[in-house]
Order: sequence, then C-alpha cells, then structure tokens
Amino acid sequence: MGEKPSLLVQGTLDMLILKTVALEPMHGYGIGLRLEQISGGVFQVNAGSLFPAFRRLEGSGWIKAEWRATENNRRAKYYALTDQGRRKLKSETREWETQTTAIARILAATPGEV
Amino acid sequence: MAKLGRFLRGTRALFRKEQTELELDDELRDYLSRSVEEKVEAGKTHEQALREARLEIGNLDVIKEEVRDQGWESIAESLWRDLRFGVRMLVRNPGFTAVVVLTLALGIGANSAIFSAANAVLLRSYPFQQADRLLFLRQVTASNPGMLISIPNFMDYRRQQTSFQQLTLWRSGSVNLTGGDYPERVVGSFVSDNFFDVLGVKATLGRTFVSGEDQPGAGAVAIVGYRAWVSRFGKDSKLLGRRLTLNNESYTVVGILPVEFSGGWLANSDVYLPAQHSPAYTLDRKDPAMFMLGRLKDGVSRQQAFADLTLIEKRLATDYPDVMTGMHLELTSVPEMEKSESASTPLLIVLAAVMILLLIACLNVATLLLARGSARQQELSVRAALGASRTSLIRQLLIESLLISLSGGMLGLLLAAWLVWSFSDYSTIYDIPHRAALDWKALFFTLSVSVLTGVIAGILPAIRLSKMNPATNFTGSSRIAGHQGHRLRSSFVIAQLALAIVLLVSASMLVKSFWALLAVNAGFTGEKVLSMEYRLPRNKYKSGTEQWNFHRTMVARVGQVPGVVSAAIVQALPLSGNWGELVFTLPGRNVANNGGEQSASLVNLITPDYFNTIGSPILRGRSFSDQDGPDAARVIIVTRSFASKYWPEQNPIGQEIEFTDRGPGIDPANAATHRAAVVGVAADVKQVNLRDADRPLVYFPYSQMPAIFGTLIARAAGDPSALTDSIRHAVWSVDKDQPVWRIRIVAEVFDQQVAPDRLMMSLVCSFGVLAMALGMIGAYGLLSNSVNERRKEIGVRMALGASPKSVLRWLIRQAVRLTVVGIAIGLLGALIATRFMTSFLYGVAPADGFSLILGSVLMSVTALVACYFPARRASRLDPMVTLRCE
Repeated sequence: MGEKPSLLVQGTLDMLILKTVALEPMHGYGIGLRLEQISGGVFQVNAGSLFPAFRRLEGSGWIKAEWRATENNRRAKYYALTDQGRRKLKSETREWETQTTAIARILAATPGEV
Repeated sequence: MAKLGRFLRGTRALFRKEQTELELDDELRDYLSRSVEEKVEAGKTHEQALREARLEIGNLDVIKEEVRDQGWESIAESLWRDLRFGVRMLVRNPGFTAVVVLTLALGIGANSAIFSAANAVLLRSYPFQQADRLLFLRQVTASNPGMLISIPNFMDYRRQQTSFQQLTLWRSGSVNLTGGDYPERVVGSFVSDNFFDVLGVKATLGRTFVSGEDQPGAGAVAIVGYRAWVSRFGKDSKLLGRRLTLNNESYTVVGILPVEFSGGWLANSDVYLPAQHSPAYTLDRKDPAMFMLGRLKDGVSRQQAFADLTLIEKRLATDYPDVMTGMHLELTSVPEMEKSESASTPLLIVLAAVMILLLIACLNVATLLLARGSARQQELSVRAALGASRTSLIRQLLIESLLISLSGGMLGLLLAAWLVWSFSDYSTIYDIPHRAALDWKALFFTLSVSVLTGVIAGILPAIRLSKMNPATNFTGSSRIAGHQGHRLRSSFVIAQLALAIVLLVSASMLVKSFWALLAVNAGFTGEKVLSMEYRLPRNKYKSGTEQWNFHRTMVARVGQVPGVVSAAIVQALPLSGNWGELVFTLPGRNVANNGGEQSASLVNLITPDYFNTIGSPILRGRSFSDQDGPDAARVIIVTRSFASKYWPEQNPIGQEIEFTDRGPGIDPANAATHRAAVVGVAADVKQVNLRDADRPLVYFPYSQMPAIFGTLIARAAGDPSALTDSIRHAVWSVDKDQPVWRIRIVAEVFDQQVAPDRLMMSLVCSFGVLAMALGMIGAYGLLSNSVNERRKEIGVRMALGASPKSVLRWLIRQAVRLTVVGIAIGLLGALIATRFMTSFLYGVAPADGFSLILGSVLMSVTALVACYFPARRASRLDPMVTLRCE
C-alpha cells in the first residue's frame, strides 16, 4: 500500500478532491485523472483511496453526487461541490497556506536568523 | 444540520443497502471502463489494457468494504454482523453456552431477588412528606431505652418548645370491633387532634381530626384507614357518618384515609381514635403513656431542636425531681425508627453474600471465555490476518459476552420471580411493610447487573485474546495462549476459590450459630399448646374485680373443653414479643446501695395452672393456687436467676419485695405500696429474646394484679389446632363480644424467633454450595485445559520415559498451588468479612477456627476433585497418538 499515496500528505486528499470538483463537476475516474494531470504526475491516486474519500466527503455534506448521462450516452456518477464544501475548501486552503508558509520558512532558516 | 443530514443519509443507506451497493458497483464499473478506454487510446490492446486497469484498481471488494466503513451506518451494520455471528457461535457450542448462561442466570437471579427484598426494606418510601424531618422524641433512662412519655410531660414540652412546627401523640393498640357476626380485633391508633396535620395527611373522604377533639369529653369520632375501609367495609362511602362499636363505645366515622397512607408503623392502623380513648391514657406524670413525635420547623436542625428540648428538660427536672431524675430525651427520625436493625443487618449480609456469588460467576465465565478463546485462537488469527483490527476483535468478543450475560439476565429474572414468589411469606418475619416484588427498580437493577456482568466477564478475555500476532499464530501451534494467558486464568481461578471460601466460612458460622440457637433451652415446650390473645375493653371491665372475674370464669370454661388437658392465662407469652417490667425494692435494703436506682426485673402475670400448661417446672416451693385470691396475702413466684441475684445465700421462699401500684386509672398521689412474698421458684425462661442470657423475672397471680390483656394457653391431648373453635366458643360463652386473635401453637413463637436465622443460614449456605460448585468448574476447566495445551509436551516426556505418576505429580502440584494460594487469600478475606456478621451470630466467636478449617478442607477437596479427571486423562495419554496428532 505504501507506494504512491505516500507522496500525499495525510489528510490532503480530501482537500485536493474538493478543489478538483470545485473547477467543475466530475466523475470518479475523471477526478483521479485530473489530480494526476494537474500535479504533473506527482500524485497518482488509486481507486482504493478515491472512493472511500468520496463517501466520506459526501457523508459530511461537502460534495453531492448525481447520475448524469455523458458523451456517447453512458451514465456516470458526477460529484459537485456544495455550498458547505465551498466554505470548507476555502478554510482548508487558508489553513494549508499558513502551514506551508510556516514550514517553508523553517526549512529555509539559516543559523544566523535564529 | 450537517449531523442530521448525515444521519438521514446513513439511515437511508441502511435501508436502501441494495440500492447503494448497486450504485457503487456501477460507479466502479464506470471507472474501470474509462481506465481501459484510455489505455486503449494510448495504443494498448484491449486485453492488455483490461489487465493493467484491473491491476491498478486492485481488489474491488476491498474498495467496497472501505467505502462502506466510511459512514456510521457501517458501524451499526458491523455490530449487527457481530451480533449475528455471536449468536451463531453460541448456538454452535450449546454445551458451553448452557454452562455460562446458567452460571450467570444463577448469579443474576439471586441478586435480583435479594435486591427486591432489600428494596422493600431498606429503600422504602414513606406515606407522608419529608419523613426524615419527622422525629420521635423518646424519653430515656439509663436502664430503659424507653419510647413513651407521660401526657403531663408532653403538654409541658408542647407549650415550651420552639423548634417544632407541632408536637403530637400517638400510640397503637388493639381495639375490639363488635356488632358484626362475631367480635373482631382491629388495629387502632390513638392520636392527638393534630396528628394528621403533623404528618401532612389529608382525608380522602370526610375529614381528619379537628382541634379539641382529643380533649376529655369531646365527641367520640373515628377515622378509618383505607385498607380497613376496603377489606372490612367494602369501600362503602356511606360508612361516613355511620357509627361503629369500638371497645364497647360508639364512635362516628368522620373520615377515610387515602390509599397511600398505609404500611409501616404509623400508617398501618385500621382505625384512628382521639388520644383520650386510649386505655393507656393517664394524667400521671410518672406513667409514660404514649409516643411523642413532631415535625421540625423549616431551617431548624436536629441539634438545635435537641438543645431547645434539653432546656425544657432541665426546667422539668427542677420542678419534678422525683419523676425526672436520670431521664433525658433522644431524637429519632421515623425512618431510623422503622428501619429495624433486625431486618436490615441480615439483609445487608445476604446482599453482600449474593454479590460475592455473582462475582464468582463472573470470574467463572471469564475463565471459560478465556479457555474457549484459546481453542478459537485459529479463527481469531485468521480474522486478524484478513484485516480485522484489534478493536473490532475486542468488539466482537465483548458482544459475545454481553449476549451471554443478557441471556443469563433474562433467565435470572425468571429465577428471581420464582424466588421472590416462594419467599414472599418471609416478609412477615421481618415485619416488612411492603412485600418484596419485582418492580421496575428490580428490572432496571437486573439489566444493569447483566450489562456490567457481561463487561466484567468479557473485557479481560477480550483484551487478552485480541492481543496476538497473526503471523506466528498461523502455524496452528497449540500453545498460542501462552504463559501469560494461563497465568491470568490461574488468578481468576484463585480468586474464585478465595471468594468461595469466604462464603463457605460465613455459611459455616451461620449454621453453627443456628444450631446454637436451636439448642437453647427456652424453658418451655409448646408443641401441644394452643394460644390466643385478647384484650378486655376497659370501659366494660372497669374494676379489677370485673377483670379478674372474666379471666377466672373464662379459663375455667376453657379447661372444661373436651380435649383440653389444662388451661391458663399468661399476660406475656414468652418470645411472643410481649413483655413487661417491674420496678421494686427489697425491704430492708438501701436503695442507694443499688446504684441509686430501684431494682427492675421482667414481670409476668399468670393463673395457677400456667407452669404445667406450658411445661415449665417449679423448682422450689409451689405454684399459685385458687387460695391466692384477691383478698389473700400477696404472693409471687420468682425465677431461679431472680432468686440467685437478690438472695444468693438465702432461701428465697418467704422473702419479700415491695412495689407501688401504677397504671391507668390509678391516682399516683394515693398509689398504694404493697409487699409480696415468694412462694415458689420457677425455672428460667427466655421471655424476650432467645439470645438473651437468663433475665430475672417475677410472676404475679392475675387474681391479685388485675389486667385487661391476656394470652390464653391450653394444652391439648391431641392436635391443639383442632380445638380452636371449641375454645373460641368457650370464650364467647363468657362474653359474646370479646374477640380473640393471634391464634397459634406456642411452638410457633420459637420457630418465629429463629426464622430470620434459618432464612439467612439457608440462603448463605446455598450461596456457599453454589460458589463451591462454580469454583470446582473453574478449577476443572483450568486444569483440563492445561492438560490439553500440553498434550504434546506430556507425550514427549512420556516417550522419553516419564512415568504417568510424574505427570500426575505435575498436575497435582498445579492444583495444590492454586488451592494453597486461594485458601490463603480466602481465609484472610473470611476473617475480614465475618467481622461484619458478629451482631447476628449467637454462640460463635468472630474468628471461628472450626469454620475456617472447614472452609479450607471443603475447598481442598473441591480442587482435588477438579483435578481428578484431567489427571486421569493425562496419565492415560498414549505418547504415540499425541505426537502424531500434531
């Protein structure tokens, strides 16, 4: 289990999924693909992580699912962001930025600064 | 809102499980096909793409499982799954299930039954408000823990006190109710006009007493209790205003009391009459006539009230030094007064015993769960290897033990219902106002105990069994539980043995105490003697002569009834709960030499044939005779202990005592002082309590000491109870309106005295036997399990030449270690535990060596028996078979 997702910081998958569906409603495979593409191939998220996350986010009311007909007449389950989800994404993003800035600052510190 | 939505979605998911599953299937299929499509677009063949996509996505079932685990509904679902699995496991092992469920059913059932009894006695509520603010004011002297107060004293206290809302008087007594088919005795209470105001009780029909109704000369009015209203008067509302003949006087019924006002001391009367009608009512300050009680004012503490009363007491002591010397008041609340020590101590002991039994049952079940767990180790390893987390294993094991304990609880409830039903007669022994019943409190108690039991019995085995490494356990080795598991089980068994010893030692001491009580010589034989009580109405039999005439004529008529060998009257039948005391002086001796107090002894009134009727010998001199009439010289008979206390060196016959007439209707100023001479010495009897040392007692003849109360006794040639009707009619031939009651064979008073001891002994004994059986099962399970686990080792040893004997030695060593440690701890526990029983024991020392040894021996035998079968099996093992078997 410990190969690709180990690159993903614990707990960030939910935030990334929220961000992905915030761009436009998307089905499961598309979300995984999009994550991989945007990250430039750094994150490869498999179905075993995605689907539990969908259920979790849906359960928390941050995304909602809808069966839609797609191109060439197939049905797929599309996930879209709810208002609650949007607020959650905003606060998560802010939190994330604070943390990364702080971490970056610590990592960039030189002996003289302390 | 979010939580609610989640809950709704979860609920929907639970009920639309199919739908959700289907959707998930669709979604995953969609995912797969998109993945394949993309790979095909990238130039792979369809088969290649499909293979890669499948590899990438992994096991679909695992994904589905993980998705399901995201919602709370999955927890409910897995609980349900565990539950079903648990039931299946239990059903598949019916032998194991039966043993553990029955074990717990016994423990829980016994607890629920005893709880119901304790509930009725210790946790009862009172039929009036704030019972703990309602205090009895008892007038006490050094020698007399008395309860009663004289009416002049009461009036002084009532006038001067400031801490109580009001003070009131109460005294109960039997009342003759006539005018029906035959004369009846009802329980009456004589009370002040403010009695019901003090208690805070209002009439359900009519009214309670109004001010002034307790004054001499006020109209004769009566208030009827609810129970009597229903049982005697058919709940007839026309009873209000009707006239009842009570104690030969006509009373008008003015009120009916509410249904809640029943049970207990103050509220158990059939009729309530104004105080001045009480036969005990007297204005003699020396004569304690009634109970005084009062309700504390709000905000006044008991200490403040006591200080207030002490002040009044001092004033009274200055005004009436002759009466008040050595007297002081004590305050006791109604609950304290009614909470009879005699009932609560044994109940607490039994409660403790039954809880020990339940603890043993818990330990037993825990041991069995552990033992079975090691047999299930492989199953648990497989589950762990397949990804079951430790919590989910613990959850599953706990659910199983809860299933066991709840089934045990349900079965136990049936047992408790049966026990309560079959022991309900015992409530009369303890004078329990409310009969024990399985009410909602008992149901709640049973449920809580069941859950607690399940957790206690299950938690340690669950933690122990779930702690393991799947990899090492897959080999299927037989020593999985390991040394630690074995040690835990050993300590459980040791605890069981130790607790069982505590119960066995207690039981043995109770049996010894009971035997000692049975061996007590009460001083009379009552198997053939019928007794009944009566009380003459004072207003009908006013003078001593009239009273004596009734007694004399009645006892003579009863003596002539065919089948009656002899008949007599005694005022207070020994061990019946009735007794009296007499204060006297010995002529020529200085009172001061006697510690400043007059001598006091028990006193009883009898007619001449008393001693041969009850079967008690005269040791010296003679009994009373018909010559000792009202006008003859005053005579007494004393018991041996009386004679040896007051005339140790002299011949008691002919000695004299001096005493003063007291009592209702006697003016204290002109009270006569008499001397009476000893004409005989009688054997000692246990008058008050079987456990008492012999107490001095003096007998007076009814002829010279008129009294209105008597117990008629008649010795029968054959079956005494067959004479009941003819004797009653003999009484009614003298006075057709005279009721008799408490008709019983005299030997029954003896049985009633020892009934609490008998009940407690049999309860604790049966708990002890059960504990022993459980301890045996526990030890057996442990030893036979250790034989099973070490089958291979034993096989190797025997193959290498060890004799069956050495294997036996190994096992016995194990058993001995368990027993020795168990006994050591148990004896220590027993020494501590039995200390709390001393007040209940008779003729047994607190650390009774015999009982301690008996408990140890019984437990050793138990452990040996438990050891026997595993040992036999081990020594018969065929080394070849055991070695091949693995």
